Amino acid sequence: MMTSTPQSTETTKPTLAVWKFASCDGCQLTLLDCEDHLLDVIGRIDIAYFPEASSAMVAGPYDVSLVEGSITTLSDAERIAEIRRQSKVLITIGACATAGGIQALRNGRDISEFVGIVYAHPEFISTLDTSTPIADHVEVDFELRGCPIDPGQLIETIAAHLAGRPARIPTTSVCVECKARANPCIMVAAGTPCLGPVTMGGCGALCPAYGRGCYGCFGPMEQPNTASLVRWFGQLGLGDREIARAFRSFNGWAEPFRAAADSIETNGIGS
Amino acid sequence: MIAPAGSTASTMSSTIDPLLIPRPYRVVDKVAEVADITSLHVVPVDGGSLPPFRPAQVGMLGAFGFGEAAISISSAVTCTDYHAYTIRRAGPISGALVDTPIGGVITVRGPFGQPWPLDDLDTGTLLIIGGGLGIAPLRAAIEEAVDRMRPEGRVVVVYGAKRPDLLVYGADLDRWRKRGAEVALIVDGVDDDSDWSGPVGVVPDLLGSPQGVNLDWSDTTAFVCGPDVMMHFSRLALEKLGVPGDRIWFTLERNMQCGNALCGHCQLGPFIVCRDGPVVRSDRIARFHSIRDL
Amino acid sequence: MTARAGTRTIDVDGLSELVDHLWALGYEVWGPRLDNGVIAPGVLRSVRDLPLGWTDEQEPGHYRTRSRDDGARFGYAVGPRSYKELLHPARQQVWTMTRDDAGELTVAMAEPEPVRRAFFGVRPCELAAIAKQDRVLTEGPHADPVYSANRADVLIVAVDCGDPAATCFCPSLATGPRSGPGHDLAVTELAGPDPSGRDSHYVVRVGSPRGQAVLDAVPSRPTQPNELAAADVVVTTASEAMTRSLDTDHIAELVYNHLTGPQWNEVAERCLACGNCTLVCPTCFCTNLVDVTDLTGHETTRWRVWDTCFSTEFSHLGPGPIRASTASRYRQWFSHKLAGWIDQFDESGCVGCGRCITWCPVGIDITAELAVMRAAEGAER
Repeated sequence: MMTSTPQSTETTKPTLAVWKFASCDGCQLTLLDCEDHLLDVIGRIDIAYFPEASSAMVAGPYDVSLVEGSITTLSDAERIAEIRRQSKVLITIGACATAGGIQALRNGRDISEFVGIVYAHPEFISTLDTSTPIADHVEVDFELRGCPIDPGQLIETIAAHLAGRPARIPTTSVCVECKARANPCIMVAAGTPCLGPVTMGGCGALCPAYGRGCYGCFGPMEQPNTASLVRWFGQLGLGDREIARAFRSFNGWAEPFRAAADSIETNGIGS
Repeated sequence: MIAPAGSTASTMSSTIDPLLIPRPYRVVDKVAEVADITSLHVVPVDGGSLPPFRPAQVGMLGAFGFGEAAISISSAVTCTDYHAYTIRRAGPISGALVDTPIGGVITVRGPFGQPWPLDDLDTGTLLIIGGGLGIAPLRAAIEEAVDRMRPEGRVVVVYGAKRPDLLVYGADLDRWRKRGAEVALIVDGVDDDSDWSGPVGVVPDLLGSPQGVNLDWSDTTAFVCGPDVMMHFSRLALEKLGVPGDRIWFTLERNMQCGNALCGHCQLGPFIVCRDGPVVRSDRIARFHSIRDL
Repeated sequence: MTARAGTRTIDVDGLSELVDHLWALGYEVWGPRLDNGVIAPGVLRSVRDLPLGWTDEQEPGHYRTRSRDDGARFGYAVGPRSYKELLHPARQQVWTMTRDDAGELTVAMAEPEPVRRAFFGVRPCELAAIAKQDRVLTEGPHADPVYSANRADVLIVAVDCGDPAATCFCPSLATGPRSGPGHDLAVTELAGPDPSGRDSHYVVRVGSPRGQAVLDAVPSRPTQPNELAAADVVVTTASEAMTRSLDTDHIAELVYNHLTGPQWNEVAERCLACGNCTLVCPTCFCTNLVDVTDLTGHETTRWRVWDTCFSTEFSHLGPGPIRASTASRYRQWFSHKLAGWIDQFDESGCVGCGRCITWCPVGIDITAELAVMRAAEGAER
């Protein structure tokens, strides 16, 4: 190649694009929430496309795409395929993008009934029957979990990409973070049901620190033993319906949580 | 809170064990051994001397930003020009290490661990069995054994690899032969167009077989390094031939992180590998070695 | 029993002056406090911070505090947290490394800062746990600098156990309920009011010259024979109250003989691999080294964080973890605690505090699991 296109130092920085699908914007706002690190980010990468934050709309291809949100419409499915084509590295961020999000509660239900209830003019609504994670549609290079994602983990993910190494994102339980933070275990000490022992850390055990059971925002941990936790929830006095609902939330469509809820609804919590 | 260290660590940091402090080393040479295996030759950036070591001891090699990996020193103990580390590209850290250019800097902590018991040999024959990259922690032992060989003694090297082109240290093998070592090679398999004329099979096949290695087994000490399964079957073969378990030595490999017997990662049953190994006597590990996932 | 020479008795005012005197000597005093629903070490400004009128109730996977109506200030067992969090903190910086534009590296070690702390109200099992961590982290081939700095100037006032929990089994490990070696002072609480209406008082044994000096600085009197007898009753009653036990007879051999078998898969059906047992254990010392790089690519910081052998990453080697299954990871924790530790450090890794039982979210019981193993051994004979 002997092209003589002049290259400024600016264009040698990797380009970043941020994309939104069905979601609340919370995860992409996490990037703006990185405060101390934001200038470092801008120093190392060119934000080429980020409508939430910048008027710059540089055309692709992009070195890195961060994708927020789930696929809920036919046009979403087409758009993500094009984004994949335009992106060297595609990283999904947040529970919607990695697990379908809270909107995946509609999966397996009658979508036309929901549309009829919610919208005054359902005839204007064109939507798929399901809300599905990005990885169901295109190849994803890395999935960053969380509802919303954690700023520190996002920075680590970007830093790792820039350094050419895998991101160091622990896949262990929320309990590991809870104990490091010296929280008393609210399940043991207060009988509060908590998904922490089957949920991946990343939040810093935020809810248990304030006396609330874990909602599973970071999705299933590595090798989650949901069956054992479900039996224990039963012993704490929770009913089938409550337990199934605990699993059917932000990451309810993630396979281990979905399987746990399905099993309870089909077979009860077991002994 | 933070004091400068590196080259001046030993003077600045009075309370911290030097083996906990990463020391910058410069890559002065790289040898592409075979396929995905590369040897780095490194010297301290601070110009100080290389730390002494014994064969099979391990350094924690660090690649900036990637982390550290435990690699045995594969140069001879008499080599004072550099330390050699032979590394297979197996993951991000090892990849970053082998990608370090000549002139580039890595960090090293160590050496750590128990060496081959070369000073305590009480047999006429030293049998050295290596499988694959398992030859690397044996290399310094072989060099020292041929240096110190008695006239009536034997140093026998049995070395196996998956394919002929994966036998590392090819130049050394000839040199060791010239210096009196007996070297037997075996490969798991060959390509159709290979000119390999040696035996095909696994290392234990050579032990005591008519075409293989025949020794005065009652007067033999064995050093074995390779995949766990290869060490396991080598021990069974040697014990059958009459080499007692307390004269068979293995190396253990586990996830070494600190190298200081502090982090707990490299445990294997009763052993903390960075402290009690990597070299252990086979009869002490036998009952644990065969247990899956231990 | 220990020599009684020099044993002194102090009353509540003496106890109060003891705490105040430690502060005056420059110690940051830590002791049990009721905090967020649990009794756990916290900064003890004065004796009034002790959980007077509180006790705890513990079962596998269950912990509650509840009030008691006597004058006991130490009428409870151990909570989820231990002095491990001060001596061997959950997160500690190890070094920072910078890389200049030429690729040259400079290392700056984090120099641990010495701290002066008094641990007031350390339970016998915790005293034993500190001694075990001392052995692992300071008496091996390479001393841990952070632990060493945190430990160097710790003064320990131990308190014998008078009201153990249902999950306790320290007599099996000979670590309690009477305080063993390692303390500067050891206290037995005679909780008031006694039949004559006298408020709580405290029988104090001296464990070191430093402890003697501290005791000398507060008002005390010679311990009366009836107080000595009462102090003995406190610990013997506590000992008899403990229903759990761990049979340590040839325990390492027992465990090594049962490294395979159906028991591990059975436990793994219940085990969440959440790591709680390792994190609450006062002897579990494993850490992970994590390098964090900044976005500029010029600086990387190594952190040492608590790790757990229940993570798959813990045994990662080459293509994946050695201990890929929960069964193998529970086995690692159990067999290390009760067997491997004996080979590695010449003593058990367990102190019988029962934290792993209480704080397992699904109530897995190490004593019950050992009993299963004993039963299997019996059946094999």
